[in-house]
Amino acid sequence: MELSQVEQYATGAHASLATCDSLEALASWHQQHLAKAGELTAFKKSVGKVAPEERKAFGMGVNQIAGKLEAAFKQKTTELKDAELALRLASENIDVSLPARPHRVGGYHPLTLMLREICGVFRDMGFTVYESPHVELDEMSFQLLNIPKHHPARDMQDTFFVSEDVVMRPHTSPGQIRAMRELGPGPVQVILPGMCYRNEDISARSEIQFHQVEGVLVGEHVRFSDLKGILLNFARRLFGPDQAIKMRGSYFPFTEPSVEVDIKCTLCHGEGCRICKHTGWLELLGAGLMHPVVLKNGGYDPTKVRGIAFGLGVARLALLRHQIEDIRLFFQNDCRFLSQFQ
Amino acid sequence: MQIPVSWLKQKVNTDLSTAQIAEILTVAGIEVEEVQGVGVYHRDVVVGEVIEVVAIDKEQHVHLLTVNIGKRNIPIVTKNPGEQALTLGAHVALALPGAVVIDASNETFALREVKAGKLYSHHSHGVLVSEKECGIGECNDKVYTPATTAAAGTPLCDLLEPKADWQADEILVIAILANIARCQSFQGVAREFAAITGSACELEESAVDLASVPTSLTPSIEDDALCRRFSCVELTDVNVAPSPAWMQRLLVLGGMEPINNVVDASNYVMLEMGQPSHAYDATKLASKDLTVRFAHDGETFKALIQEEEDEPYTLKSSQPVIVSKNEVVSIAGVVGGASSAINDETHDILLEAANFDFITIRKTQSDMKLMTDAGTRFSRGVNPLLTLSGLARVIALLQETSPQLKLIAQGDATPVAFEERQIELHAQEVNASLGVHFTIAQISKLLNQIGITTATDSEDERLVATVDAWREDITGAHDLIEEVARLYGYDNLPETMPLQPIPFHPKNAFYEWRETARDAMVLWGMQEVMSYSLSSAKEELKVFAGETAVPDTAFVQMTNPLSDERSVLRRSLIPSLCQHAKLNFRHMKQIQLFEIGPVFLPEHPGEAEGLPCEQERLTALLTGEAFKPNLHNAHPGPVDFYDISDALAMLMRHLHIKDYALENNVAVGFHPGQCAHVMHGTKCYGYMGALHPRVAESYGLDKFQTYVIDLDLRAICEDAERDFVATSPLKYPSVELDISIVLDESISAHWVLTMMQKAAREWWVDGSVFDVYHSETLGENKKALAIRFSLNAKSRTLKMEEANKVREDMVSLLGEEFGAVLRS
Ligand SMILES: [Zn+2]
Repeated sequence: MELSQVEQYATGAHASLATCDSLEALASWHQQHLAKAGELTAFKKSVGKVAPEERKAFGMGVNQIAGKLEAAFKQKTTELKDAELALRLASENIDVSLPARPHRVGGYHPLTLMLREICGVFRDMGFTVYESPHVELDEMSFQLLNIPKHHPARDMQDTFFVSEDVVMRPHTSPGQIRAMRELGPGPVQVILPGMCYRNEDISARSEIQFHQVEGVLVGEHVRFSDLKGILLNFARRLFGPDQAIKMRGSYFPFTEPSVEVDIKCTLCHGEGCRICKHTGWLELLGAGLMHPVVLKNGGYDPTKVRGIAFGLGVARLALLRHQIEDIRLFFQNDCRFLSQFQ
Repeated sequence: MQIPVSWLKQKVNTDLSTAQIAEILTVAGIEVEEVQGVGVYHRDVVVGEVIEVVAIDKEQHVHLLTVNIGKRNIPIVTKNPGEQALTLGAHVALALPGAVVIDASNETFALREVKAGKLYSHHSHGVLVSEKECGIGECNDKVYTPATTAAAGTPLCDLLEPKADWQADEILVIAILANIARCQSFQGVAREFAAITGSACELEESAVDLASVPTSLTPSIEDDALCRRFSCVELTDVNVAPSPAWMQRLLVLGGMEPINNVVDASNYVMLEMGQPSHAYDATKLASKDLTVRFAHDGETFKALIQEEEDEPYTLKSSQPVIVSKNEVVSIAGVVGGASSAINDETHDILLEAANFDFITIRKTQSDMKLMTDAGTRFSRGVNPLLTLSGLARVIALLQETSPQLKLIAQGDATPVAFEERQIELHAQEVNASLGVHFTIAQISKLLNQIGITTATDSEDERLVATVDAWREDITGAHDLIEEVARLYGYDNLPETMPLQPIPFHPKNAFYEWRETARDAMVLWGMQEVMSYSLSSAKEELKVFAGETAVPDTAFVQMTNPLSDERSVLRRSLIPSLCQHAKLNFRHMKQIQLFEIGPVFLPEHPGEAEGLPCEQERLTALLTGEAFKPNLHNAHPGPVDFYDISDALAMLMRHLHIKDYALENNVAVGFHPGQCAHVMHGTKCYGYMGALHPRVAESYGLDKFQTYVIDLDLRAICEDAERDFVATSPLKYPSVELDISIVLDESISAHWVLTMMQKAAREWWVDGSVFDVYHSETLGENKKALAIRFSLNAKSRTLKMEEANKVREDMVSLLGEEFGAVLRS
């Protein structure tokens, strides 16, 4: 056996490797030449037929040839794999702008989102959420809040009556009495979110049912100035750091002094526009120092303890925030409207 | 309450503009709702530029003009406007629709609102107005043509310097809240405005001196609670005539109609001072000694505002009346009678002014649905000191047109003493309440501004305030503190954060879990809705699918509903969800809705005696297609029970309630074969399943099967677990095995799995049915269940033989319990 025979064989093997055009062809080439039972192994085994003094040189020569074939095989494998991948990638192009595979998408009601945001701001300021019944005693809804039967202040809202002594609460204020009685006689700091009911014609601006959030802070160190601070903080958290509040004297039977609190128009930022009737200000809420009668009915000594209270309409803030013109959309529950809020 | 600005400026010395006055009053709690311009002050009385003139009726001098008003050109029909106004390029005074101008066609002072309309068969979008109609002069025979270079469309009042003798005016329209009854008069508002601004104010008005008039009348009050003061004056030689022009003008601007000098003087004093009064024709009274009492049931009364053919009122014993002998001559404080009304022949008059209990008047007004200016004032409260002084003012005004009148007699019943009050106030109280640092001198000065006199003690930093009897709204220190805050200005008070430490309140766990439940439903893909709690029994009853045994008392009923549609409180959230589903089906086929809210169950006790139970429920409705057809799945099937069951699973996962079970059972309104009770041990959280087809159909949902979850949310949240024990991931691999058994159709998968778990003991990891197979070859009412389950020995690798042994135990236990056999 001559090394030249092996070299001649190798030249042939290299040539046939070059013609391999698939990984399958490559695998069979490998089978034929480099595998254990392949032709190269046969050459290696034939070393016994070589003259003893040439065996070393023959062995080294065969190994060199084998190494070259191995390397060529590896390179060819890489080449073919790269080519195959490139082919696959080219065949797998997609149009990324086609529609996504949809999942069910749920969403919150816009009033829930507004309620959560409002409650969140007050909870950050240390208020606890306190809830009370929708159907209330006249006593809780009016009398204990300094509104006796036939008091002129009853004109301020038209109330749904269930019986002479039971009403649909027209405001969340009965919760003031319930919270004070339940959580007192120490300090009380709660917000009272909830649905309220008024017997009014339904229009774009007014609903028979609406959410209110009322806040109550009762304690020996409570001041009117705290009310201003809390509400200013609230307005800024909700409508931005440049917000300002303005107070106008007003009247609510359960607070004295009573004020209406305005914020800078969220649309024109105080410049004056249609929404704010060109005043630059929007009515935000009603507030005041709790009336001594209410504190007393809550179980406190009004000469020692003071309270502040404020109440705001939730829908109104949602209307402002999203520039919604018609409050009735909230209860129509058309998913095309609701699904915008998520 | 309407107050002419011209009157206010005449009484209070001020340089402030009308807008400033309105702002100052509003901030002080006297809300100016609107400033109404009259005549030239109306912003819709503008300068127009004539750009085209077409004669449409030469004989009658009618022309059609095209007038430029800045933003656009409008057609105006005009008759005899004068030469000047028919010149091209002329500037004319033009009142646009909505403008309120002086009605020059009326002999006395009157107003009219301009409307767009057709004149001589041409459209006219306004009218050209004269000086007189603008209220700026007397000329009325031609249109006012201001000499101006101002742009077309400019409001006329911006060009003119106001004059004191103008008939035009601005009116402050003031909302009277219950605490400012004292502002129900010109003088009341003037007094407040002067106090707030610290301006000088002259309110003394001419009044006759009644001191020398004999007190021979004896008016009487039967019930002191009904009337606190009742005063009368008798006059003779009164000449009934029109009232003076100035008074007519102020009456009209104040919102009243001039009638004659007697009625007008009485009405004017009501506007000016706030004291209502009434004039009777004395000759028509059986007795001049009037009595205030409650009516006798069945007494009849004809009011002077009623038409001749109207039925007289039949009175009730809750209604206060004024009687002469035994004839009712007035509904006290509300309206006078027809029989004793003043007419042109009246010569002798009995004037009466009283102070009635405001609650009685309120009840009477709402009872009789009779709202009058006097009644409205009384129902809010009137200063009790004004009865006689009011009458003295009426008489002085009457003398202007009836100078020869004579005062015959007077009488004054005053069962209640009106005394000034003294209230002590410490500076510390003011400062602690408002968060300020006022000295007692500062506080005193503010109170003095509104006529509250004070005796101050600066050493103790306290004062004693003396409050006039008529300031009945001020009864304690808190009322004085309000006045201090109001006069100092709420906007001038500081802003602080509370010094009061945040109290220890228990956590509102239900509120938090409820929000978690809401999150879970949204996360699963449900859209939240909100519905009216107020509904109709008809809608609500549909859920009962024709079952008739629903008692009348099932609903909380409104006694004064707005409509039948909103007359009862809902007992279930299902009806409104069905309605929303139907609405949304108009534009989509995938309906996934839920709501959280209370239902009202009057048969169960509520928060207090007399209140219904309010049960917070979570209700979800699923119907239509599972999702929108799309590129990836063009034909989505309809949703079914197992979709809504997955939504429930999502909810329970979020609340960490693991061991709930669904049991086949029935519930009102549900499909009998597709309804589950959602159980937790023996506690039932609610129902889930397909709506009964008849129920669904009654809500118009008949195209797809409708699935509903309806749960008592509070019951679930009670079991929600925050402190569940977390487990570490299993260290050794689990063994997964299948089992396939044949058993009775009636045995639910839940029970099979429960038994399998029992057989596997502590090696149980989980298991789930992956195939249900029905075939006749299995036998009658039989099914085959294929279940995959995994086992794990937890502390070591479970051997296959051990797992197979468990599987054998399962088969024998299922055989014992349910007669199940291994499927071959
Ligand atoms: Zn604005």
